[in-house]
Amino acid sequence: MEKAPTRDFSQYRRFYQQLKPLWNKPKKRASTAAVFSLLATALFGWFAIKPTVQTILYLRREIKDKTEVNKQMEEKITHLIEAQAAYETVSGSLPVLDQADPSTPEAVDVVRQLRNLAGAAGASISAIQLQSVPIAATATPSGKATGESVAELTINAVLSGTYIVIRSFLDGILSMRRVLTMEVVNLNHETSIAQTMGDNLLKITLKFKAYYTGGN
Amino acid sequence: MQKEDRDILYVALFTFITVAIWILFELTKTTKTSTISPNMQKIIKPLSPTIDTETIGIIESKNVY
Repeated sequence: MEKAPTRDFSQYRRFYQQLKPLWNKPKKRASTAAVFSLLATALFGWFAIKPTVQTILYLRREIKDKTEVNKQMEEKITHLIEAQAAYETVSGSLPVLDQADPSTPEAVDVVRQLRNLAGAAGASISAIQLQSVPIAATATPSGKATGESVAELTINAVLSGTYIVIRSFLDGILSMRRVLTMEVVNLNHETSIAQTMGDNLLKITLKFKAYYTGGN
Repeated sequence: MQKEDRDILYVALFTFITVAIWILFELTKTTKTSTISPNMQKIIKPLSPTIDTETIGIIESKNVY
């Protein structure tokens, strides 16, 4: 048990004795110093210098970002105050916007408006078809979403009347507050009725799209 | 200089260069990466305070049947 350390020591001694002549050679010493310097620099660079510099750069970036956030928040607060003032100015007109682009499909209302318009123009409207939409205000819209929150409602109708009457109806659609687009207009000449009434009656098949915000 | 010594020197040199480049990339990444969270980026998104009163006027001039 006691002899083991002595044997180890003698082994190390022999090892040092072998190293000593090598160390005396200038080229060996220079290359060893270079190798250890490079490895030591890499080691310290990775474990000591990198985390320190990384922390410094991270903090500098954070200061820059926070300054930018602060500036943008101040700008946004100013804009919100301005928007609040602008909102107060136009708040009386906001129900009008809801009539033009309601948050629910308002399908019955749009059909009623089309019927009234046809009546005002003197045209006969029939075969009104609507895609199935929820009537309740809280229901989820089933209309096809066309954008972030805009949904659409398809309406088909058939209109009969003279050219002037139909033109008056179409002009009325353009001047209607509820936003509607005409997707298809199919124009036919109603010969049988025209012959009996002695007038040039036209029959048009219309496909509208009414829009609503979808309540999102 | 013997060949073995030269090889060891090359290994040390390339190790040093690799570590140096790696450190440089890490530092560049730290500098370029934003510290603002996505939630905060949503909050600070600019807001336009103007309301299009002209369009509201046009809508008001239209009819309800």
